[in-house]
Formats: sequence, C-alpha cells, structure tokens
Amino acid sequence: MSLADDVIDTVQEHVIEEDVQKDKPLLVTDPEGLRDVMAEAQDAGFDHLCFVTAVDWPKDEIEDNAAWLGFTEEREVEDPDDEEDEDATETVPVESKGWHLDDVDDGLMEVVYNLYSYDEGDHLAVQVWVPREVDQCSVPTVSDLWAGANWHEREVFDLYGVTFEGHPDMKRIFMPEDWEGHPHRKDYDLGEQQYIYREDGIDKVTKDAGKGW
Amino acid sequence: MARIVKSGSPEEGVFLTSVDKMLKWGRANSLWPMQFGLACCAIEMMATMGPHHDIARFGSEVFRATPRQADLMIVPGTVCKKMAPRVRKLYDQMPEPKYVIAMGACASCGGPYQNSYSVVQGVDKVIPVDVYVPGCPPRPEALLDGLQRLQEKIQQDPEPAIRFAKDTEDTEELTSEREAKQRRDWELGPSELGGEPA
Amino acid sequence: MTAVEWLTAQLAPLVGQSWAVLVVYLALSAATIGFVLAAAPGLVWGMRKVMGHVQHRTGPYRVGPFGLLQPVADGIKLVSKEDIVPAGVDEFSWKLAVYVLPVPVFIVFLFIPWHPGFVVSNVATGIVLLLAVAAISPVGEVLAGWGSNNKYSVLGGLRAAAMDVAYEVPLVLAAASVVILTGSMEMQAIVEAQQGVWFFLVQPIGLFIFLIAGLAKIGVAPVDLAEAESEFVAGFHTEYSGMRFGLLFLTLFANIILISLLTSILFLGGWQAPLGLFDGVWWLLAKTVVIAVFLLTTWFTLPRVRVDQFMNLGWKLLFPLALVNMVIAGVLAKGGIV
Repeated sequence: MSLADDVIDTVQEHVIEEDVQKDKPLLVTDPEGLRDVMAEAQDAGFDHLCFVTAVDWPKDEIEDNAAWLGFTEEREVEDPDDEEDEDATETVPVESKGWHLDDVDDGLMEVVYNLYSYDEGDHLAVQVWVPREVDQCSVPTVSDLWAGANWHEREVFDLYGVTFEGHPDMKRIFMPEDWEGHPHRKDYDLGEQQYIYREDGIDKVTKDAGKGW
Repeated sequence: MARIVKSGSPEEGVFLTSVDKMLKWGRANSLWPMQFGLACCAIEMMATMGPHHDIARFGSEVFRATPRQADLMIVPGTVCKKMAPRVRKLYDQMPEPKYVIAMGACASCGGPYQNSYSVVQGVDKVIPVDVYVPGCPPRPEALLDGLQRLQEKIQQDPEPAIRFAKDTEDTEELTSEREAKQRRDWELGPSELGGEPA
Repeated sequence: MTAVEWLTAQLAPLVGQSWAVLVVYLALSAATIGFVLAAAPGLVWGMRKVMGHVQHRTGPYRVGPFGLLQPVADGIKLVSKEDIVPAGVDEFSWKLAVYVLPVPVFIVFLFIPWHPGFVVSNVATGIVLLLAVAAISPVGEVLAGWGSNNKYSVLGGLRAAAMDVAYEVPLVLAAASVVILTGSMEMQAIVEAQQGVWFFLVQPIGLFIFLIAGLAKIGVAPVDLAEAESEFVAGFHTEYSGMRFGLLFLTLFANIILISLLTSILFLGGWQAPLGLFDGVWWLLAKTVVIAVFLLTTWFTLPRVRVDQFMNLGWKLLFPLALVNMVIAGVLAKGGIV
C-alpha cells in the first residue's frame, strides 16, 4: 500500500475525487480541505513539494472539454421518443471536481501540487479547483509546511493570478510590481506589449516601446 | 587620446594609415568575449571553447568575467525584457571598441518567442549588433564562422581611430555615430562586407 | 671579479668612476627589466599553448607562426582600448595601485644571480631583501580593491591580501631553511653552496612548501581565490580596463617567472649544470621553464579550492611544516652533512 493510499484514507472527508491507478496518484480536494490534506500528506511522509502550478480553464474551454473533464456524462436515453433508436444517448451535466457546470461563471483555475517522498519514491498530485475571477481565485498557502512552496506560490500568483491566503510575502516574483495582468492566463492580451526599464534601481513597466525594452 | 582624427582629413597621413592597419589587426585577432550566458545557446558557446572546436585558435578563449576587460559580447540566448536593461548596462560598461554577436534565433529576432509577453524581439533593439548567427541553437562551427566574419568586418573598418574616446560627451557622440554606421552596414548587407550571406 | 665590476672598470677611464657605476647599473637594470617585460608576453603565449595542450586543444595558431604573435595582438588591443575611469573611484589610490603592484615584482629581478659572477645588484642580504620587496603586493591589492568603489573589488582585494600575508610566512620560512644550509643570504652564495648537492635533495619538504606558497603568491587556479568569477567577478581588478588591466596581467606573468626563477635558484642549483656541464644562464633558464610549465600545468589541471580550506592549509599545515623543515635544515647544517 502506497503512501498516497494512506493519505486518501486518512482525509477521506476532504477527498472529492481520487485516482490511485495512475503512475502519479491524483487527489482532488476543495480549498477548505487543502490544508488538512497537505498537513496529512506531509505527516505521511511526502517530504518534498516538487512544484506548485496552475491550469487556466476559461468557461468555453471547459465546455469544449466537458466530457473529458467529467462535467458531462453520456447516458442512455431512458425513454427514447424514437422507439427504433434504442442506443440513443443524451449528454447529462454532472458534478465534477466539486463543481457543477451551471455554477461556473467565468471559468475555473486548477491549482496543482506535486508531492514526492524521498524515502518511498512515491508521488502524489493534489488538485484544487477554484473560480478563475481574480478576486475569488484564492487558496490557502502551504508555505509554512514546505518552505520551498514560498517562491512557487509567488510564481503561480505572478503568472496566473492565484492568491495564496496566509502567504508571508504575496507579491510578484518575476514580473515587475506594476505589470498589468497575469501573463499565463488564457485571456491575457498579447497584442498590447508592456516594456521594462530600470529607474532608481528597480524595474518599471511602460507601454511606450521607446522607453523600455 | 581625446582628439579624434577622422579618415580622409588632412591630418591623416602615411603614419596614421599604418597605425590604422595595426589597430585593426590587433583588434581583430584579440577579441576577448564576455563570460555570460542567457539560455541554451550558452551551452553551444561553451562547446565552442572546448577541445573539439577550440575558439582559442582565433585568440578568443580569454573569456573575461568583467565587462571592463571584454571586447566582444556574445549574446548567447533569449533576451528577456527583464534582462534587457542589464544587458544594456553590461554593454555600456564595456570599453570601446566593443563588438556584439547575436547568437541564435532568439537573440537575432526573438526566434521561437515571437510576440511573447516577456521576450525582447531581437537584442538589436537593446544594443547595436555586428554579426547575427542564425540557428536554434547555432552549432559551434556557426559561432566560429560568425567570429571570423566579425574579424573580417573589423579588418575592413574604415575609421578604426574613431573608436578612441576619453570624455563622456565624446563617448556618447561616438556611440550614436557608431550605431548609425552599423545601421548603414546592415542596410548595405553582407556583400559589402566581403562575403556571401551565412 | 664580477661582471658588474668588470664593466665599471672598462668604463671608468672614459667617464670617471662614479658616472661609470651609475651608467652600468642603469643599463643593466634596464636590460634586466626589459628582458622580463619581453619574457612575460612570451609566457602569455606559452600559457595559452600549455593550457591548450593540457586541455587537449591546440591553443592559438592563426595569429603568426604557431600563434606567436598572439600576445602582440593582445598588447595592441589593450593599449588602444578606451581608458575607463569609473565614476566614484578614489582616483589617486585606484591609479596608483597599477604601479604599486608591478613595480616591486620587476625590481626584484635585479637581485637574481643569472650567471656565475653576474648579479646586477649583489647585496649581502639578497634573498631577504628580495622577499621583502616582493611582499609589497598586499598593499597594492588593498589599494586597488578599496579605490575601485566596488564591493567585489574590496572583497577580492582583501582576500588577495589575506592570502598573500598567510602564504608569505611559509614562503619565507622555506627560503630561510635554504639560508641556514648555505650560511649566507647572498644569492650568489646560495647557488654556489649547491656545488655538491642541489638543495631539493636535502630539502624536499622545503621545495614542496615553496611551490605551494609560490602558487598562492601568483594567485592562479587552483588557488585563484582572489579573482574567483563565481564569487566576486574578477576580484580587485574588476574595474580596470585597457592597459591598466594589461599591467596587472603582466604582473601575474612576471610573478610566475619570479617564482619559477626563485625555485630554480633556491632548490635546483640555479645556473649550475648537472654533472658539471657548462654552468651558465642557459641552465637557469631551462630550469625556470620546467618549473613554469609545471606551475601552468597545475593551473589548468586542478579545480579551485575553497578559501577556508586553503587558509587552513597555509596556517595549520604549511606553517608548522616549514618550522619542522627549518629544524631539519639546522640539524643538517650543524652536522656538516651539507
């Protein structure tokens, strides 16, 4: 029995979905349960947080991939109007990742934590799905559990706009402080370039191509 | 030497012409590159220093860690917007005469990072470039070819003495003059520099 | 009669004794320093070729035959570079440092016994005076580092000075063992004392200490801690460009020549020939080249050591070892073995 199974058994009440058959076992939880799950995982022996990342899912992309993501399911039509077509199926919305497709406004942000145990060589991926609007897009920090999470979370904040609550230093890590937008979001406007220049020893952002690079 | 004697002026004579030749020969054969790498092209640059390709044959193995002692800035890799002010600063810290090789597609034009939010579309937007070496990343042979083309270019420099400067005003004037000249070189194309396009 | 006395005697009837002494000393000093100034670029070429072959490369060969003109091209380029005086440097000490560093190194070549009966300045305290003059370098390093107004320069300069001071001790003690064996501090006498047996046979520990301490004084890899790129850019010469840097570069190579020469003189019999074959300056130069190639090979073979390890080696191992070596030398001298 792998460490991942231990963790999933212990925090059963927070597990929304699980898949232990994969090479890297997967556990989907909700923002409220994340800290319990991560603390439990650390106790169980996952001593290394490989990295934290995110996947941006705007609403239309979720709809395009709804079946694959599990937000819809093909079911046989129970009372087909047309009696001859007995294999007729219909697409039914179902709950997945803790979300119902109708509840999703703008889209979802998938925050992924990859854990590793040096002793056992086991992997575990923990997912949290949160709304993708910048003001609602927040999950609790785990930087007090793994110190290395500090910069990973800042990176995710910088590029995806996910706020980590309780983080000691929640600010951009790559881009200058006054950079507009979060570049890895799918709706980031690449047409309008921003340029960087140095002033008084810090990086500043300008939209004037002649002023910065 | 704060005073600048321009070619073609009455002050120039046989002596200065010989000095010009000597300067050009010395500069072309003693290009000390700056030791810095930006991306994967830097790995190829290191391979160029290695035994198989041996950049030392052309006298360029003296990679200097400080810009003050370097003559040649090989820009090996992707220039991020955030790196651009630093590249410019390092370039400004190098003493004249200084030369730049843009190594690889990223440094030449942005390469695979066309229209990226974070990448400068060619290092020539930041500093004047003498030689562009295409490739992604270029093989060491390509970099050596670029180095030799730069040597040819220096040997054909019409005004080597113009690179003498002492005062700040002079340096600024010269830098702009030099950039204008390089733009002219670029417009003329490689045939004017005595070679087929690479 | 030494060469200097003979030359003076030839010239004295023409211009008078005091003028003759002045002219002869000035001419010989100029010739010696000129020789070193010419040899240092030669060593630059040698260094680049040795480095090439040690690393399985060929080294420069495009510029002149076998790349022999490479140092000439470097020199022309360095002289014609822009002379940058960075904003905020302490101009006096910054500019002074590039003379404080090379000048003592070039001066000490005047104390070297090149040939039987030929020392430009044959002072009775030769080896001590030589080492004392050569020990001025920490002053120049601190001046350069402090004057540069650059944190890397300060750290590099202080580290260079610390290393020089630390390794000056075993260097001088190893030389002192040789003085004990000889019974004289005169350079010529030290060479002559090795008539029967060269001192590296009776002083192997001394040779070992002298080479390591000499390497530290030169300051190249594996002990180039003062200009470790990964730690502080280029150490105390970070801010120097053009010919100012060229002078520091020359100093480095003059230092290599000096340490090689001293090793040959103190331990390998100087101008003495093996088996008594044709004593002369050619033997000294041949031994110097062998030692220099050995030092260069060490330079290009070994990776850089950590600074605390190297300082520990100096103070905790080489220093006591040098004292033990002195006792051995004393016993040997007292017992009349050498």
